[in-house]
Amino acid sequence: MNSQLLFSGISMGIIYGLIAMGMVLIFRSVGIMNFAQGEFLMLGGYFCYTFNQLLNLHIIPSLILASLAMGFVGVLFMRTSYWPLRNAQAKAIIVSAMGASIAFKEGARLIWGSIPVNMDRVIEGTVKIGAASIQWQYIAIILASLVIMVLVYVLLEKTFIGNIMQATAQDQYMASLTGIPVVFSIGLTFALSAMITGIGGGLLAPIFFLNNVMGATAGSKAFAAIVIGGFGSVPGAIIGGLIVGLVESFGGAYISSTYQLVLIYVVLIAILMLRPQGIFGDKIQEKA
Amino acid sequence: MKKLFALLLAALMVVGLLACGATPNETTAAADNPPADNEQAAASDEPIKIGLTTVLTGDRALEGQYASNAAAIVQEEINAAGGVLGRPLEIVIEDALGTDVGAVNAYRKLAADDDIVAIITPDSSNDGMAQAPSALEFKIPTTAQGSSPTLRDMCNNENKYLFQLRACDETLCAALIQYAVEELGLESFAILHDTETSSADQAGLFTKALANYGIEPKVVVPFTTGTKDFSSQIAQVQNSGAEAIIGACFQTEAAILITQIRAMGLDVPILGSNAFADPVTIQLAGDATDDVYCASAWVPNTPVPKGKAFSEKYEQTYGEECGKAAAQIYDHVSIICEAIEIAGSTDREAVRDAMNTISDYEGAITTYDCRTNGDCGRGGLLVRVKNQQAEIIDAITSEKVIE
Amino acid sequence: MLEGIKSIKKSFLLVLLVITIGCAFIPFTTTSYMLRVLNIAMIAYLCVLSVYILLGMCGQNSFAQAGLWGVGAYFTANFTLKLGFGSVTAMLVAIVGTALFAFVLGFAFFRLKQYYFTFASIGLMTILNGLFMNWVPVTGGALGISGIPPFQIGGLVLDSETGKFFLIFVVCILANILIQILFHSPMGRSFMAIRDNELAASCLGINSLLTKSIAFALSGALCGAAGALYAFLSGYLSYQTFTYQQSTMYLIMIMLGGTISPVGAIIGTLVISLLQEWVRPLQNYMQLIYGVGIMILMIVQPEGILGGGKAFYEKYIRSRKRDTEVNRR
Repeated sequence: MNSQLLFSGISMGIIYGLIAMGMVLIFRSVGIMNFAQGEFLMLGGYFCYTFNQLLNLHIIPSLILASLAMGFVGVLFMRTSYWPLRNAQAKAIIVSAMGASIAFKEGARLIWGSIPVNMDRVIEGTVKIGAASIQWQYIAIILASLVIMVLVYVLLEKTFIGNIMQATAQDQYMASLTGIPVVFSIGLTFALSAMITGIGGGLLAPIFFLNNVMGATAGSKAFAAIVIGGFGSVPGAIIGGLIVGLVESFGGAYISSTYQLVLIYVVLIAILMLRPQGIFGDKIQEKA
Repeated sequence: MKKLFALLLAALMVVGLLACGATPNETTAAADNPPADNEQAAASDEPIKIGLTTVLTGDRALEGQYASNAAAIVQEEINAAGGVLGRPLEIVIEDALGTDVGAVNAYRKLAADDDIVAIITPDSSNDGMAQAPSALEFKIPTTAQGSSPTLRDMCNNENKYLFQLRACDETLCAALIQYAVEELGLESFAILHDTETSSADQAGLFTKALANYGIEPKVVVPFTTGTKDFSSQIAQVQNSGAEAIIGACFQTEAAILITQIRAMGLDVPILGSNAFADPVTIQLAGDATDDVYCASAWVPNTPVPKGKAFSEKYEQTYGEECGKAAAQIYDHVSIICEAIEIAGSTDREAVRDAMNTISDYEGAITTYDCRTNGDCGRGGLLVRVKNQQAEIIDAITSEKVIE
Repeated sequence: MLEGIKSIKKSFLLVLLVITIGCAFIPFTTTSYMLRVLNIAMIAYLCVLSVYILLGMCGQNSFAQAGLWGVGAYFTANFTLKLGFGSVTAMLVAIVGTALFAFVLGFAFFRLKQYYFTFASIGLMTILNGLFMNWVPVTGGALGISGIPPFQIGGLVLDSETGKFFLIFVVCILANILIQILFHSPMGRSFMAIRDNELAASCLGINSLLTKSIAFALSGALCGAAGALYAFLSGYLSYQTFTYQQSTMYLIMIMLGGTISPVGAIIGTLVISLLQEWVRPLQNYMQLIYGVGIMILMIVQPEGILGGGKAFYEKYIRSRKRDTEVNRR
């Protein structure tokens, strides 16, 4: 039983970490928590469904096409609900993202209906590892996540575009003085974040099944992952995701299956109390 | 200056409030006038209105999609057959939003219209219970889709305007357990259930039915709506060594649950609530649904003649299989129309009394007996899923006990 | 406190009087449906006021208000139904109980600064909703609690919609007066000092942890009152009502109205509550238009409707002054 719990905890954890990573990228870039990230997950899933089931493409090209489409959605979202408010207070942006989140959910329902749908898996079937059995799709998700994480790392740390994005994230004003087109750089960050989360949605859909509210639960757990891992830290988001996944599986089995979600948030609050900046977070200096 | 600004704002607000409050009143007043003038003409053209509150938007919108589709079909069908009392039928739909406040607001908006004869509540028992005090206040016959025993007690005792038109879960759960123990010869069970209202109720009813055979469930594992990974719940079931799993939850959770039970290599029979043999669940979970047994109120290939016709019509019109929520709306509307015909008028009180005289009405899902307000539906079907089709094993019926 | 009472301006009382007289006619001009919408809106207004205390005055953003609202409501339900207390006692218990609950939690949570407090409050909201849904002996589980008796004082039973309207209305007016007193009191000023610069405020000798906890307790008291009123109004409570989404709704309301004064809370609450009902005829499209509407309103008025209106008015006054000056020359 324990090995089963360990496997499922880790695989769910990587999934939460992947969504969390998308959120962290936006936070690092503009200092705003994106309250519509869960909807990116759902939209990515639906795009993938459209290519895979309605246009009968193979699942892998569908995933890539869906993620490209999500890149456009990310830019669109940034232009409509972040950019006009970039000089306003942070809470105004949060509210506009909440409005966008309602609109995304309802728009998706109007386009794709409210009956949950299924789509192809990357690999069918299950595999037995010792006493535990695990679906191949989970393993595919873990591998894909690792690849995405490495790609994002290379993009951010080793390429010129990555440097531009990092510079903008550190200081927008300074970046604009050195000639970096800030709107381009922020747009790219939003696009990247939406693409990562969108692929996650496409990979998750066969396991979670796709409906217009699938983003909410996954989004709230990814949020917990970010806070636990340390706000604004990419490795933190992944470690946080793993902690959430493990708390969920072991807590659900040994403590209470009813209060699974509650347990996660109890851990969140406990960690905040002990170490407010999260596990990987830098201590934020108080502004004088 | 500041004072003037504040006063201006206050005055504006009050005027705005009064205006928005007053408008609906004026429109209803305007609508009331013409029928008073020429009552004879109005009687044949004025449609008879039935209100339907359902969740069109938000998290539970699946129900609303079925309900509004079904409403369109039944409205057309009844009007094609000459309407009700010779007048056309009109179903007015309001969105209950999936919250208590939304459900009550939708109800009261409908109730404020004097032409509305009866109102149908949303599928969830919670919404029905939130609307119950309003039903009593406006004295409108209200048919509840929820199945909770608490709602049944409310219908039978304190709220004579509320009717629970729903196949009784208690009968269904008992029939399924009877089949599992007597026919399949199963002896130990594990219960997995959602903590949401109707599923938690069903879990209780399953436990009660098991107790009749002197069996105690090996383990009862609750989970919350929206759970996506059931490993820890299924692991507990696996550990308990139960011979069969009993499940109670909604479609999406049921589909995920079935898939994950099979993926974890548990090849035991699964017994489930309504949702487990629902077309949506079967379509999502695919092959994994083999060997799922279910005491269901509704399957699309039902043998009930009215239901069969409706199911075929639904599939033709909308290109998807007809769900339980759709069939339920069909029955609710038909029964209300029947009551209006019996009452011979659209008077709310007369229709309410007429509802109580319906004792043997055959609907699409089952036969209805409304002599007492609660538990009007009289049965369901025992089904087994095979090759992604719900195969009917037996029909379940129960007699109504009238004190 | 006394200083606060003395400093209430006559203009405030005048405005209050105008509103009171105006609103007293509402129940007689409207349908019972619209009246219920207004009743719910006024209850939401109390919760939005609680957000105003925290966010507008003290600068702390909390997403736990709907949870506190629920705590107040379940307090009331348990004390009237299960323990058999009178309505007034139950309501007082709800107010005091929720305030104490918030105070204790505030003391723990406000060790966290800025948005870390917001995260903790989201955690609290989720935990509370989980409890509302699953703690059967106290909250009735997912089925909820039904049959809560209407408010009664002496022999007077307020079971009609109009009666409930006046009850909620009176509480709203009282809450407004209290907020006004708070605004001008030393306590209110220390809230605002913390909002503007927490470090500077603590240098001036304000105990920021205690002060913020008091603000949270006051907001808890308002939510508790709102919860009690909701319990009396609807007679039925379930977990579906007290959700994280509802909390975000309060933030949306106050941000749309404007955080600079309680008037913003009124405007925001009315706009959102009525918008929700006005878009009803759109049926399937209603939530889509509603979501887009929120987005557009926020983009057009980032400071809220009140903030935008005030800026516009000041600009108008300034231009008029300039005109008269030019004429004089």
